Amino acid sequence: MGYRRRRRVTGWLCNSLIVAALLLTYIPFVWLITTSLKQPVDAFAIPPVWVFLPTLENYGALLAKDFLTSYCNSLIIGLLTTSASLALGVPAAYALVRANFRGRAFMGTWILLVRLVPGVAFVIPMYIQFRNLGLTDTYLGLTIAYLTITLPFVVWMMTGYFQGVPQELEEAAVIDGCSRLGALVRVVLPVSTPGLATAALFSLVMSWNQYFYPLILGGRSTVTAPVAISNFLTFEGPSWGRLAAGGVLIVAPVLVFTLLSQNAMVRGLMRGAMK
Amino acid sequence: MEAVTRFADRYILLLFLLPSFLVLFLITVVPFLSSVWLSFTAYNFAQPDSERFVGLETYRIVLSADSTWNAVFNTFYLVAAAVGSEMVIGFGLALLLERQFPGVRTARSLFLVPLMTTPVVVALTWRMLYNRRFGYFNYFLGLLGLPPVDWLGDPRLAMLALVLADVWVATPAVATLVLAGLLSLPEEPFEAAVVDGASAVQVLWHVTLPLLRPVLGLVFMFRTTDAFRKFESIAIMTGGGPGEATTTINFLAYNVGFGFLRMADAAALSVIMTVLMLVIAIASIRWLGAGRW
Repeated sequence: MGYRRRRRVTGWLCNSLIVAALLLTYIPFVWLITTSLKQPVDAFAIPPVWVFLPTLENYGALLAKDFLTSYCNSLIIGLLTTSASLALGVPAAYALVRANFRGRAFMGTWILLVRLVPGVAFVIPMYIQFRNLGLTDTYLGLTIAYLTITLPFVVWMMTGYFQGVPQELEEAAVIDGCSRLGALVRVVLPVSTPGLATAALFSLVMSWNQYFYPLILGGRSTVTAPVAISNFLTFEGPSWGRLAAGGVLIVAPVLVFTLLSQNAMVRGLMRGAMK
Repeated sequence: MEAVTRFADRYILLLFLLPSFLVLFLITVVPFLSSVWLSFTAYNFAQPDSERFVGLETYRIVLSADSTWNAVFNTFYLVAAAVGSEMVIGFGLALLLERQFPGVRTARSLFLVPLMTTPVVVALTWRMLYNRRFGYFNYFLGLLGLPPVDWLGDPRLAMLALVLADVWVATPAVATLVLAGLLSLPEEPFEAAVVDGASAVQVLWHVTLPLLRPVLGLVFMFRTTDAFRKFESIAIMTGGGPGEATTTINFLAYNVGFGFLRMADAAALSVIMTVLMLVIAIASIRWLGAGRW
């Protein structure tokens, strides 16, 4: 009896700890959203105003400025990067899994190592070369820079996925007269749609979140959304409502994607550590 | 006949690999080697003729500068404090989430969000929350009857503030990844331990932790390398300051290169940082058995 009561108490305690963790995790988001809907008077009110008349003024002010352009820039570079990463990375991952040539382990290790080298080590020579080649402040230049992050990632994630696709499936296709390329396109890729979707989402989010590369290699015509919002900070002084509204607009798509595909993302990340 | 198809097959697979290989070579190996080369020159972006070989002179200058050692100290402080707390709290949270309770699926699916959230926005949010006059942190301190604190402006507190923000970002994700590991463990060792009369603590120490080592090693490696190259939160919340109180190696390299245009020094710093990160990665793989690739 005493044992059961103790269990119920610990169970209750554990549950409240989880609730506390959830609250702590989401309070900054709630704060961001409410601030984005506040008039300046309410945003700076101490003690904080919990009940206030919401306004879309901040969002309107943002859209009247060039924020929409930077939003589109982010989206374009993200889509370019994702398409390039998939086009290059998916065949490579497939070859890494299926081929038995020497250097396979080397390629795998190399791709892992690239993920570990800090961006500064790449960006200094890139900055110098891009200026010579006229690639600074272009979509192409930023796409190339983003590929240093997304391409190894896509290869790594898809290798894990392809390892789970039974080889017999393709062998059957090849016996039926399919070429290797045909087997990949008609058999392996359709089976791997969830993996492809996760890799694409991840690379889209990674590009979307980038700040370091566009800060250095971007310019006036390629201002991305994160760079634009950090510029508000310096140029406009503290307008919390507008900063928060920009923040909400940037974060909203990422939030939706993450909540929708969390399980697939976790599986993709943890390949190798879990059987 | 079969030999021919085998050969063609091999050829096609190599062709699949080649574009990726070339692109990765051009955008990673070549820039990295240029950085290594630059670190052996005296290249300053403002003086185009300064790209001449000076041997280890740049490393001598960089390694004798106080700000470098300050940045090394700051980096290790940040990484140790942030990753240490994240691993411990994250592991605890994962154990809590492993139990069955109403709404368990929803709760489990909510914790990857902060890590995926655009770092610039997280940094801006926390900057506002830390604000001396209008921030919520000082408001809550006030409710507790404590005087307001200059979170980001006080050299003794600024790094702690960055650590706290990083813990907020990464702990839920660590919990999510560790939980995925916990749920993938086989049942038999746990049953055997319970049959043998092991206590909960003994099971945790002698069964769960050893079985979970590859997962913990991998998460540790992810987190350490991410914390090492942390950029957004430093750039936006403190700018490396006050003074140089929150300047890490990564941020110092950025500042030296793109603030002062001393590209050679920045390259040397980035090479030093790469070496440190590789050592950590190899150690995590060797000692903790992170992953199996």
